[in-house]
Amino acid sequence: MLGHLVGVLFDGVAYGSLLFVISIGLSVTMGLMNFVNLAHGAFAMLGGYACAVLMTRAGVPFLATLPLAFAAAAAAGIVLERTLYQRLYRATHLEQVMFSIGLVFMAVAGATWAFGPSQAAVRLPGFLRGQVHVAGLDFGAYRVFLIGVVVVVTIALHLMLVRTRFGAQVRASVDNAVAAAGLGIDVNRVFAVTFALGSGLAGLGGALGIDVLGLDPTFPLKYMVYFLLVVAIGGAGTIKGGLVAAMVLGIADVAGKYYLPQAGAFIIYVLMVALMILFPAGLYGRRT
Amino acid sequence: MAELLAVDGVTAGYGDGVVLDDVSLRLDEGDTLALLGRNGMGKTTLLVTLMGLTRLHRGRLSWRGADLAALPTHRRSRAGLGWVPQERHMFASLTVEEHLTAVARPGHWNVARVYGIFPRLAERRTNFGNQLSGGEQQMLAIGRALMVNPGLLLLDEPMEGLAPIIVQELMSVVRDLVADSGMAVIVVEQHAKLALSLTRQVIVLERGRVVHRGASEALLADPATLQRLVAVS
Repeated sequence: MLGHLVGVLFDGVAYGSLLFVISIGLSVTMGLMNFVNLAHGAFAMLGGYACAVLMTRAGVPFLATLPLAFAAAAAAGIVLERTLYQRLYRATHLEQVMFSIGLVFMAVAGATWAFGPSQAAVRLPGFLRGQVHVAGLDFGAYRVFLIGVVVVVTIALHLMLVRTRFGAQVRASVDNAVAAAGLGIDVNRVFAVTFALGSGLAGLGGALGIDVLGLDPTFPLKYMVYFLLVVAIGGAGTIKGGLVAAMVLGIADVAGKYYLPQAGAFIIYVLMVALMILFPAGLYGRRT
Repeated sequence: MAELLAVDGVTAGYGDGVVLDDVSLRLDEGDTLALLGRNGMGKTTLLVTLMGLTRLHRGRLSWRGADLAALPTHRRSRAGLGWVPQERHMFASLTVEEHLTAVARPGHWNVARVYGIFPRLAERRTNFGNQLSGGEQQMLAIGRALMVNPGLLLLDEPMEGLAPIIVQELMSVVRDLVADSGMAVIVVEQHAKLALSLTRQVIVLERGRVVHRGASEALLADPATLQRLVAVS
């Protein structure tokens, strides 16, 4: 029984880790520039397909595809930000929603055309398959790996935000974009770089998630709500909030499906309603 | 002296509204200007118009001979406008030191020199922007603006809401800055006599129009006119 609990917690944390890596860019986009980007999952899907194609068609080893998945999604982020997104920074939220949902449909159709409608599969390297035995309990090796990657990514992100001048400029721009610009910080450039970084992380998450979330052309639609939930519950624009929210959602989703299969996927929505009533601006949101 | 800033027939405001009506002024390198007027007369609007935060309906802004109005806000700062906003606009998630380093540009002013004139900020270097007293916030707002190494410092009501003892402390620093730094300064201030004692020339705004311009010293020596223009108590 206790073993089950530990196992469920562990799987929940692993699942939450994936949600965090994919969603953190969305949190920053919505927090920094107040931009509602429903197409964020499309960048994750792009990273996933980059990984799958590189592995199956070019024989690139799984670990080596991860930085490439990051780079592909980040590059797509830069191009789309410069050509399309930046035109809608001052548009209404409705227009941003219509624009980005349009991108989602294009991404779904494009992926179906390019890769077919079925699930893409990757064969994980041997050392990431199987189980790890610790203290009499079995943990999936791949989930241990996922959690490790997310710990590294989180620490790197944190250090970048807290220790570097660029990180201070990002925080200044989030705190007060007008004052930041008035003191010479190019808020749009800060945003473009941050957008690319967030897109890249989504791509990394998409690649990491093939074995857990699955990968097919409807990915950006299927998981859109999860990514938005992370942002809504965590509070836009905070790493800590996104991390905590992703863990809460991951654990609640896994635990709900395990202990209350009848309620199934419904648990996280109950959780969302309860948390939004208690914390209208998110767990770590800015109250304005 | 070379011309630093020229404001020519500027009409500006927020959205379609007009706050400034046909305002003109000239400032040379190193020159100092007091911008006076009662509340809501357009003083702050003039400063934020220089920063590109209003809609410019008519008129020209030029900076060292180049068109300032064409530049986005951050480029105006980089061109040499050091903005000390009225609301102070502290960054809540930045430490005192990060306020300085995040906006630093090469030049005379660096972190050590800012700490030199505001030792209090050095003591507070690891505190966050929202953990400071009003006086400390104002010191940081000024120090932060100095870090961009501006040719013109825009001080928007730097003494507002501060205790008299803090005003004295801050005034002595500002007075030295204005006298020694070679920077041009525009100061908006409710304490008209303070502002006049700091500056060489003065402009008084009323309902967005210039109703008086002249030497600060002359206005300071003419209490009746000063009283009529800004109703100092």
